Amino acid sequence: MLLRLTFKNAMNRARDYAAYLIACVAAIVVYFCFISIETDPVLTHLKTAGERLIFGGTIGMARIIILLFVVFFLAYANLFFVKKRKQEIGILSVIGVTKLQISFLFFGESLIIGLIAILIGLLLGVFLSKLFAMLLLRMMGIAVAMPFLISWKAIRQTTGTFGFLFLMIGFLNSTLIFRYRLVDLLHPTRMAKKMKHPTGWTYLWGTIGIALIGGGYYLAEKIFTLMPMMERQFGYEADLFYLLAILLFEIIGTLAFFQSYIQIWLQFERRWKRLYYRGTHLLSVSNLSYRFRKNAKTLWMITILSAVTITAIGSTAMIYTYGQSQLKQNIPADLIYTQLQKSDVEALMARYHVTPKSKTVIDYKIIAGNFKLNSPLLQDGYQQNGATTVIGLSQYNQMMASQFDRPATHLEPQEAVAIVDMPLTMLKIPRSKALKPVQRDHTPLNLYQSGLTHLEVIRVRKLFPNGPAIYFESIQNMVVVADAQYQRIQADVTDQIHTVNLTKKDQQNKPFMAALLKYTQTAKKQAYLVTEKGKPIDHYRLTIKKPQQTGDTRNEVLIKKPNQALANANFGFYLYIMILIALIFMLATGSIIMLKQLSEAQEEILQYQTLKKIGMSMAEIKHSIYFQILMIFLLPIILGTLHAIFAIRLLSLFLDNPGLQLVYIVCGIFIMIYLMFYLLTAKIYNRIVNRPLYEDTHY
Amino acid sequence: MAVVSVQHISKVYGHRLNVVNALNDISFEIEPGEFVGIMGPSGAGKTTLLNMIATIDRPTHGRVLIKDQEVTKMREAKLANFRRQYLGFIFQDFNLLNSLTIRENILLPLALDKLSVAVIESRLNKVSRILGISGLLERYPEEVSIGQRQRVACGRAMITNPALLLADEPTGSLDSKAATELLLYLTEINQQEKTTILLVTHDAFTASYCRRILFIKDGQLFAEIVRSGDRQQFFNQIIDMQATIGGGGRYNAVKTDL
Repeated sequence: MLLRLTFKNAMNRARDYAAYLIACVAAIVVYFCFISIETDPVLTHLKTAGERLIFGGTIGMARIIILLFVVFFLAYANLFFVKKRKQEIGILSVIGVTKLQISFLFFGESLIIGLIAILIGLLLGVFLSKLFAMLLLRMMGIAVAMPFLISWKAIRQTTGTFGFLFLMIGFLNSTLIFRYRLVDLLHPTRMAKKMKHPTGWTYLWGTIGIALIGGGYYLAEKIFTLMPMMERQFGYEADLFYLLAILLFEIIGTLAFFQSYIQIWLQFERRWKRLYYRGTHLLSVSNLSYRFRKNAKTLWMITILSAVTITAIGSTAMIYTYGQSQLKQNIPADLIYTQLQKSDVEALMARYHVTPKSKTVIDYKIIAGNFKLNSPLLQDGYQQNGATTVIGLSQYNQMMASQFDRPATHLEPQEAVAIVDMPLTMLKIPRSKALKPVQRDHTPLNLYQSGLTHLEVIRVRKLFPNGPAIYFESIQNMVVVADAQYQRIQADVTDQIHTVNLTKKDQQNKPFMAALLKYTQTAKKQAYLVTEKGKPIDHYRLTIKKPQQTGDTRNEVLIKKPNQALANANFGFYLYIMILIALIFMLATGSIIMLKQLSEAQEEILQYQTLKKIGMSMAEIKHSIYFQILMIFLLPIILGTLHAIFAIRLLSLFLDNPGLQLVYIVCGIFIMIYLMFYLLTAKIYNRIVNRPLYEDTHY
Repeated sequence: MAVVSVQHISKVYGHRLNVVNALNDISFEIEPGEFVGIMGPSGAGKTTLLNMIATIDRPTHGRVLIKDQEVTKMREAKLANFRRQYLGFIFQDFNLLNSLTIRENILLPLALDKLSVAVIESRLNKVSRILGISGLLERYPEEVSIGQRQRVACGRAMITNPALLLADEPTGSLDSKAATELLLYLTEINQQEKTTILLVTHDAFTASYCRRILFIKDGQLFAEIVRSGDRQQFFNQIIDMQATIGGGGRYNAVKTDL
């Protein structure tokens, strides 16, 4: 009998459980897909650019994150469900069902729900895992045929893990029952709407909240000015405190925002009678005041969670964009090699009958020199002293045009362009004029050779012709001078760099690419740059023998295709995992808000019936409900997105402002999903409270 | 011209196999300025009748006219407006909105009508003065006594100057002192403002404040008494009528000697 009741209960509550079930199923599906990726025979033997891709570690981490979150979600949702059903427990107790029996009932119910979730999850998982794997491969840019396989290991592991989880949740539910007293159960503490006028504390706390949020944003924006200041004062440990302060400010500020600031704001609305005493506005505002008070902590939690989620996927998307642009900057042509490697590489090309689409040679000189740039980060500015690569303007312009589509630079005889390998955001803060480092009009460039005109750095750039890696490690600083000056420089070292662009066909010539890749990894010849200390200036020399003292090295041959493939694969993989985790977060947080709102709907039925009796039309009530729920959903999202935007901007400063389009797209998708939750919640809420006063019954 | 005209209304509830005749061919009229009570034992159909007049429910047959408008044929959206403009409600459980202050509770119907702030404030002042709740306006319903809450409910019903004030067991949740106070206020409103009042009760003391009482039993109009003397006398009349309905009084209208 009790068993039948258990089963019937579970079925009847299917609608209540729908959102919860969907979130559980999604978690199970994703978990299942992760395991099946780990164990898939095709994926585990996947190779890109000759390197095996190892998924295990990252996926393992992702699985743990999902599990932790699912545990939190399950516990939260179940505590909530049991609370909601207090009265039912009470009635059962009164008619003589023992607590032990009730706890069995609840235990059974959660097991049934769990079982249903696992069954649906596994079923979907089995069907979707191939799709998910194909999506993964697509994002990684790898073309491999995927057979349809049922991973028994994945089924076993998923069932085991989630079965255990649901079992634990069942125990949690059944033990909760023993904690209630019968009196409380039958007369559920009428969640008396405790309304208070905002007190002085409310104003204080709310103001503090806004100040903290604003302060955190300020600290994040001004990190490149304030953090170095702190460093100077307190040393490098200050950095950690600085970042921690931003985090804490936002977290505490957000709590105060929901607990008090909104109340202040709504109180302000209430004073504005012209607007307040107008139609449903009065009702919406006062109800919102109540709801925000009641849900402050939940909304706070949702805000923080969504900020973390958006930051995580946003920054992954940003790093993806960054990686792509880095790759393009670092290896701007299909094949780049030094003079030293010319014979070997060209022999290789001849062997595979490769005819380049285009070929360029540039030369550069190395000479002792020095220049200094101001940086807000470094007290003494950015100093370049020692070996300096010098390149002529016409060659520079030619490479810039062919590799980066940059317009030609014009230089007067005494002018120079400096190219440095560090994020330009660290040299100047582009967004704030006031905080721009005091750029001296004259940044002198000294090249230690008598008879040269005095040179001045007029521009600082970041893009190296042929990428920075082809030059020696210590001198990834380059100056561009006018051609006439270049001719006059008598350098210690003069070298050449060859750039080759390949046809599509040759790029896909796998044996050639493989041989080339192998050659880059096992090249016998390696040039070293040796500094010979001299007075008054140092001299430099190239050697292919490994010198006794440390000598600078460089990458001798750069090839684009395999590196690009590898980077694509890695970034695609991370993005994929992030998006899936974010999806689970979104579904779970969305369903938490939804559940809470819908349970409140039950308590509000009487209120809306009364309103209808005193003459509020269904349309007016609907309007008010949609507005209230919109606010409840929107504020955490707006605040969470704002937090995330500042966090992402902070990160982007360190990554030299990569394009943020992908970030916006990903965040947009996130917000869309929340909007769908909003519409669904508002619709159901409206259906619950906005029933007609009477229904014309037909006989 | 009658404020309310109830014409042959019947209400049938329930399932095809289990039909309940809640009301059976009831007709009566209420004139402007009247203070009418509806009495009857539990299950007689008092509240059903009130709901019909309040346009919260529709009769199965017959029609209800309020201010010469046939409310039984109106659409839901129009009814909401109608209720707001012509009717005022006092509920047994007050049904005040706890998230609103007393001031907001009272002026809510006017805000829904989108009247100007000046009009709203002046009406609010007037009503709160009559009901003696001017000092409580900024409090929340949780923060005032039950009797005061019922007066607030009364204020909310009155503020629109309704053509008809409907009260469903208004004293049901009050102690006798608060109940007496409320009834005195209602009497005052009825006499000073000429507001037509219709109240449903099963309490003879409450009913004794009315001018006319309709008794219904088993869904049918059973009797009607009109107050002619003082309240005490009227109260005795009501008690007698209740006894009669119960099945044994001086005016024994129903055959009991089977």
